[in-house]
Amino acid sequence: MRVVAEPSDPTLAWSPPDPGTELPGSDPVPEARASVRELIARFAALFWTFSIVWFTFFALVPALVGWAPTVVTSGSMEPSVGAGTVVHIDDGVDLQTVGPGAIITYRDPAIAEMRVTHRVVQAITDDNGTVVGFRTKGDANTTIDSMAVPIEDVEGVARLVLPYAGMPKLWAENGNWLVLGSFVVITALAGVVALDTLYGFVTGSTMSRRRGRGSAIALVLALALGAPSSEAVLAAATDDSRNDFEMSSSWYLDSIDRDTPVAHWRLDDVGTPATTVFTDDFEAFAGYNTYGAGNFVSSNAQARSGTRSGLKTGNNDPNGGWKLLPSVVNGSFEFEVWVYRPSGFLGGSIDRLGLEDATFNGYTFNVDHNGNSMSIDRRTAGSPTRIGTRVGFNPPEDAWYRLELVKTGSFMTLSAYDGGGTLLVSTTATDSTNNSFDRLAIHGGWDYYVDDLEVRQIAGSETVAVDRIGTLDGSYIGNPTVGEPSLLTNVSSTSVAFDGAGDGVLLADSPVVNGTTRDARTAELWFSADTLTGRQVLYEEGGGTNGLNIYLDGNTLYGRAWSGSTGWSNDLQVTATATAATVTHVAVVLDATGARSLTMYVNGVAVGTSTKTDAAAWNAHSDDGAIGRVNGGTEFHDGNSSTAFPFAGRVDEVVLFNSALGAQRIANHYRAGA
Amino acid sequence: MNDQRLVKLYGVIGGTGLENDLDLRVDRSAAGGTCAGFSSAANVYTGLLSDLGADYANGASSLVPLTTSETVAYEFTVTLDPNTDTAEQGNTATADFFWEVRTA
Repeated sequence: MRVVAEPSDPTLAWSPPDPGTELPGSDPVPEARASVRELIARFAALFWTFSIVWFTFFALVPALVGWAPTVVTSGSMEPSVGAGTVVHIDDGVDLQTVGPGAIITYRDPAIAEMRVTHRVVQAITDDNGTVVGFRTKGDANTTIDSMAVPIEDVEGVARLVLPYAGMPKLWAENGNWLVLGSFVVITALAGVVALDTLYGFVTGSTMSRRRGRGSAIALVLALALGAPSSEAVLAAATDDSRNDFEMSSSWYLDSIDRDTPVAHWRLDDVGTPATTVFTDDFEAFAGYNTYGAGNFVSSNAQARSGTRSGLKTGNNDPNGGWKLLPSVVNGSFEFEVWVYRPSGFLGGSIDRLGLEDATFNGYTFNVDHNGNSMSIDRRTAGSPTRIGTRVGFNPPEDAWYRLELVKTGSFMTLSAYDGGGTLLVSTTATDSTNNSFDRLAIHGGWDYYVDDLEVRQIAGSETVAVDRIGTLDGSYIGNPTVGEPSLLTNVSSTSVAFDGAGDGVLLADSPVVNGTTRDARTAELWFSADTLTGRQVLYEEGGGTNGLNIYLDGNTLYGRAWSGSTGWSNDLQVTATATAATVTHVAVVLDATGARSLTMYVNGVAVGTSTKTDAAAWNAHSDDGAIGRVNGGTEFHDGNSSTAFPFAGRVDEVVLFNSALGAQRIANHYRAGA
Repeated sequence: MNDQRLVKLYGVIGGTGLENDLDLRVDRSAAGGTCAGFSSAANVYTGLLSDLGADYANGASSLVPLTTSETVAYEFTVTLDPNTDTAEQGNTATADFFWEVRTA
């Protein structure tokens, strides 16, 4: 830049060069270069200053028409409205006309003293269609704002957006004093030069340096600090990925399997495959007798298969008919039949079929088309008594539907299916009164048709207790009743009932379980004792020298472990008090990894721990094992014995682990089945 | 403490009942913390998943203000309530978590 310094006037000055006049002592070429630099500098100063004035004009003047400026100090609306942008808000807009896309400024519903400038994504209306609020979103945010904006909190709609016009205020609020100061100095210098330039153009002379500096600084300060003030808001929300949780439908098994069991006898064994005893498609109608004043006849009015069906007609329950089965069905059975009930009942509305004995004791189902329910009846001399749960059910009419009554032990399930095989409803009952059946019985109201009937025999007891983990299947001994109701809640399984006369499950020696020296064992099971008389063994493994057992002696529940071969016997024992006819979960945990300990848990809670400081492993312990009795021998609190000491009651879900499970895991096992 | 500058956590929680059986704990690390070897410097939320606030005003905060360019890690721990009934088997819960910060 060319600077002419006059000794008598130190003011910076510029005069248009006279092409015909050469200044004394000057070199024409450097002088021309200096003139170009000064020209560029003065234009830069003018551009800078006019830009500032331009922004200031648009930042302040709209207020004259009632628009309120606000400085956005956050980046939540980027890129359309960046930090430092001045937004002019018009509070005269009819908010009923504001819809998605509009940018509004409003008092923050979350923090009353704050104001937010965000874009409308939805207008909220009441039942009359009147806008009562807005859902908003920052353009840079991934989600809409969490809180709706009531219409009364809206201050106005954005009319004019001036990027960068509010940067000085942003620097001031953020404490960026170096940037702000640099801006002020540059603007002041530029202002001085610009004013000097303009003054030179207008008057042909230069203004005083002090006046120019003062005017420029005043302009900058007015812009930087005197600009319309507004709250600045940054609202940012991040949306994490969707988190889905689902509680397993097999919580109990999942809980068990997490701890890696080595053997698990669920005792769900339901016998050998059912064998068909009797079928009837009613195409040939023979052998049916009347019961009471009822009637059961062949009919061609309806047929699910072929051309004929059986028709229960005449008088109401128990009047009906019956037919002898080819062979007697004992204990557990499956009874399946298709039924057609015309709407507009002629007589009673209940369909009732089942199996009975020579004195008409047995079980029939009860499907009430008028009361819309389904249940199971026990028959005594032909008379019904409802047992189990009566469930609501609106059975099909004028259509064939299928009923299936399954009896396993004393546990019965009645299920209804539509013509397509879809399960409609099911119910259960527990009863052990009747166990032998020689006839099909037809009772109930009238008229209803039956077709495609089948009776299957299920073996009354099982021979194999399946180990669902490994290969250590057990062998049922005596005459235990399988298919008993589960002792667990909301777990799809059955239990087994032992009679206390020798029933049980015998377990052979296995290297996976007892044939190897170990330092840990967890054994757990569920039981419900019929009585608390005498000694009853729930589980035992090993023999009189080395082993572990769980048993009842009177109302005392024992958990014991011993290892005479490694120097410890009759010294790890925990007891608790048992209650008859009460479902109980018991777990015994042996930890011989260091100092030996035996802990017993009842219903998920530790009831005691027996500890010894001397360390010695738990020796391999052959001599077999058993559920519900002794197999070989075992060590009781008062000495060894090989007596069976059979258990009377139900047992369910016997599980072994080759590890010492902690209290939390045991509690989880209990909770998952309780 | 000024409510501004706090990072708040809220969520949109749904489900068929399991949300009432899940315990949620959220912890915040110290500045510069990461998920690897997470160390809690402050607790953000402890309670049922279903009780987590649904918007910024009701959101949970560690009451530790956010500073410029600060990086912290958060640890979410969800556990099944020990008193959960077996009838809850098969039930579901859903959770969308939101972070929000406001400065002035």
